[in-house]
Amino acid sequence: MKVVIIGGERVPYFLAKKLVAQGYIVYFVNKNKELCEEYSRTLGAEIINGDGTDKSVLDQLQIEPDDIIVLLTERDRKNFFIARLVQEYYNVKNVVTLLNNSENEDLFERFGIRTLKVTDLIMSNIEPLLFENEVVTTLEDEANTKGASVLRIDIDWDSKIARKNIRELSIPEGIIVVGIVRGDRFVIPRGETVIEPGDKLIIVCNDEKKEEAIEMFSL
Amino acid sequence: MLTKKAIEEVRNLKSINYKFYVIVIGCGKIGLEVALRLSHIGFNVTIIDKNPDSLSRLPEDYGGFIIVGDATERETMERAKASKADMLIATTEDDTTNYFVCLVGAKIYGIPSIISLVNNRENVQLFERSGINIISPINLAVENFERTILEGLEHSLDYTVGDKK
Repeated sequence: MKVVIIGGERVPYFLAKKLVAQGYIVYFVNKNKELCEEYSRTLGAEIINGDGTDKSVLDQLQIEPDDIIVLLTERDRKNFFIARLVQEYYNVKNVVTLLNNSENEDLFERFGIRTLKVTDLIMSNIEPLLFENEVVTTLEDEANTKGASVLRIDIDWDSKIARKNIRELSIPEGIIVVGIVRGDRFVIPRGETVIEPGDKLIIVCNDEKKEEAIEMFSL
Repeated sequence: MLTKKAIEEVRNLKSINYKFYVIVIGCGKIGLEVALRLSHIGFNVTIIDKNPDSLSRLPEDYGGFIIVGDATERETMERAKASKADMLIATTEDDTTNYFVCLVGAKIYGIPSIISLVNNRENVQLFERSGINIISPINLAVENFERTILEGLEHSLDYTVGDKK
């Protein structure tokens, strides 16, 4: 069994390096001549310079049904084409592909091609940030002209309020914690909500309480 | 290009108020001509191309719709009302694009009839195995040459044989 990586730039390099270190036979196919020359010096993998959508290039690899094909080109249609070629001509069972446009997942699924949903992955990571940003912006718009401020405070590991619940803090009047950004979630705090290291607190306070609030939460 | 019988059938469909709907992908030399002819016969035609300049080459008497967009994106196919199409014709010069849009058309939008231009002759088999009707310019040209050459050969053989008599 061998692993054939087609397309991509740096990801295949580190992927191939790991696989080679684990003793797997790795083939790397790429159109880019310079990249191939570089990798042929630095990687202990079989390097083939050519277009993976070209069957005569694939024929050089002597692909077997139990080989694993990893497709990393930046175009879904290319990855799809190569996936179908290796399925039809060499009866390959395991094809994994980078999915650039997540709406194409259904088509790949129909042909039993596994997908790496990179766009979705990035989206799910930045969504809480976008949400947080939206919440804060909206709050700021509402608060600024009315004598209130919005603060964002990161809770460190050594923060004195970490691992305490909101009630224990006895937050004075004019200051309120309106939200906690925790990993990929947005927590609406209650009295029993425990503040954890790594949290980001979104606080609204009266302008005159700003200093007090910063002192209370950041120390 | 189209047989008289086919044209007759289209007219029959028209007479029962049904318009055969065809989506043509790619407005190159071939796509443009195909879309134009189909619209003249009386098909409902939509032609899609990424490049507005290619579409602007369509003559004024083209009676179909035009969509500027990437047919490999669902949004474009939705705009073309792909699920209502009776036929999809892919004519771009990139086989991976043709293959991709053909299978999106067939598997996702359930278009019953799919025809594709296959630029690289090596790819013919993959298209056919996937249930796509293919037009391969090289194969057509080679077959035509072959036929013409053989006919010419037969003719000259007859002539030579006849001459000897």
